[in-house]
Amino acid sequence: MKELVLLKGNNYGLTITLDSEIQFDELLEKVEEKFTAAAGFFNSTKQIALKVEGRTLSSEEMTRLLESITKASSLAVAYVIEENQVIETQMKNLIKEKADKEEEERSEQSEQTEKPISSRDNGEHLGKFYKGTLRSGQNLESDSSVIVIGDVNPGATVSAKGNVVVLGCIKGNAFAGKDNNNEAFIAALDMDPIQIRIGSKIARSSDDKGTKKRKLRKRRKEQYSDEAKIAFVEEGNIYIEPISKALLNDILI
Amino acid sequence: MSEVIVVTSGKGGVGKTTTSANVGTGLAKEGKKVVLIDTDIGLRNLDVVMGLENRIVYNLVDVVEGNCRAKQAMIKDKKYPDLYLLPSAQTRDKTSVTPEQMQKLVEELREEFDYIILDCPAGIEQGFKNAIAGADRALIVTTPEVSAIRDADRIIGLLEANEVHKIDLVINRIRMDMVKRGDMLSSDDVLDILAIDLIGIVPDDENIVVSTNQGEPLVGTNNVAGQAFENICKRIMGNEVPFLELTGEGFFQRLARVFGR
Amino acid sequence: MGFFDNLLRRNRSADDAKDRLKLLLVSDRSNCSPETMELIKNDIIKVISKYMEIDAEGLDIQISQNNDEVDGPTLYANIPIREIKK
Repeated sequence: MKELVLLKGNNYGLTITLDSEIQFDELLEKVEEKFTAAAGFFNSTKQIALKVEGRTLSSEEMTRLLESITKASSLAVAYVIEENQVIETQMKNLIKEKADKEEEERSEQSEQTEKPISSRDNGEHLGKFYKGTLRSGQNLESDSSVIVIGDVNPGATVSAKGNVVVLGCIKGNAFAGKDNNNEAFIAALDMDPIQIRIGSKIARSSDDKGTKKRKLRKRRKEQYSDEAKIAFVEEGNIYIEPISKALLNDILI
Repeated sequence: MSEVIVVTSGKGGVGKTTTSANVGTGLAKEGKKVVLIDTDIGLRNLDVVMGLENRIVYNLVDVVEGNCRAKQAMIKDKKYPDLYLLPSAQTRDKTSVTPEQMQKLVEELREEFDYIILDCPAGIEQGFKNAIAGADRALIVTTPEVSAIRDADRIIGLLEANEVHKIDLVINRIRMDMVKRGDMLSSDDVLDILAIDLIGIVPDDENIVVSTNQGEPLVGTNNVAGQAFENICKRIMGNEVPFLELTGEGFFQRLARVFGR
Repeated sequence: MGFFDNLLRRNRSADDAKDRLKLLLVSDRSNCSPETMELIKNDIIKVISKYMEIDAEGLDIQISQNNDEVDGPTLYANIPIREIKK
């Protein structure tokens, strides 16, 4: 028995072979059936090119065919290629072109709405995770941002071109925005650094820690009232403040 | 005229860094222009003892490798404006610097400072060779223990072989009560064995621990260890200062005074 | 006081330290083992005894690295003489 509707996939789309004799309405039902049955297979929202073979469709028929496909599956048909018109490589090119164009549009859009971000390096949005305690003499460096799950001990250094987030205590050095990016920030659950640097700015711990800090430590230990803090640069100075919603809203990533 | 002094011991934990910090600070207190150089690359400590660890931007290796000028790496002391610290690098190792580079650096610093104090790492490997490369004289720090004295003896031999001939001894952490009981070598015993000039005897003093905790050298303060270090500084400058009369706790006898031989 | 001193002297660990150190440093300085030093010492005693009576107990030999006159280590021997044989 000859199949009325035949589906064949390739990397860039789908070839649909239609019976040339049967009534179009009937054919359409078969198409829906076919796609519904293969829903598991076609459940991606990928954009595809569709090649129609075996039957010449009017533009109205074509529209209805596409509607049926959309109804029966989540596929988005980006291009329709009529019989004998193309080969696979051309399908590929068309899809690629379309994807590139959309990418362009998207980036244009973001440039209009969020200027400061696009002026920065793309890599900065990426982050590197590190789990463990950084001990004296250890140096964790990253060209992106860095997230430490653990403590940064005195004598250890974590430095990143992007931001530094420590899910633990900073007791050593933390440098963010290594490439003179004063908009970077450093956040930690317990902020007790020897020195922090953000972009071109340096801040160091206070000198009279001998007495003051020890008392503070003692109190902290008793109550476990560590407050997560964030360090950032404003008007040329480094500020360290408890993390609040308002502060986080001001942060640009 | 400037003088380059290496503070060394061979054995670790006998008080090199404490001695360096206190001698450097003491000389600055006497009005001298002093730079302390921590040559213990990879295990820096002098910054913490001086309480300057939070100001480090560049270090010795940066200077030697030409990443910055010596001036940029030197940290001015909190208390004495004529006292500077050149910190060591924590993330590198001893082989990052060669004796020739150290010598060159020291020669450069000579022009500006009266005293250049080199805090030497424990051991006799590359770090030690770096530290003694440019030294005019040495302070050997030892404690009255067999192991420390044996290492000190070895170091003295090595210094002599390397043309450092002015070698003075600091006997650290002496406990007069134990000496009196006969359970600790006396300074005379130590001198007898090592046969070099004595420049100071520093009693075991709790205040040293306190001062290290706070990052403030105790030289010149009103306790025995502080006094002892102050006297060492005066002797380094060439002044004749009698040795402190150390008394054992509970015993009120005078103890042997030792004058430099 | 003297009484106490005498009483305590029996267990003075400082003296032990001193004796051990002296022995140790002799071999350290010479790169010779204490055994070798002992052999040298015995041979010296044997040779010298041919000509004079010496105090073998008081004999002290040392190898020193530091010497102003010659380069390299030097062997020092301190040999107390009791009587010169005729």
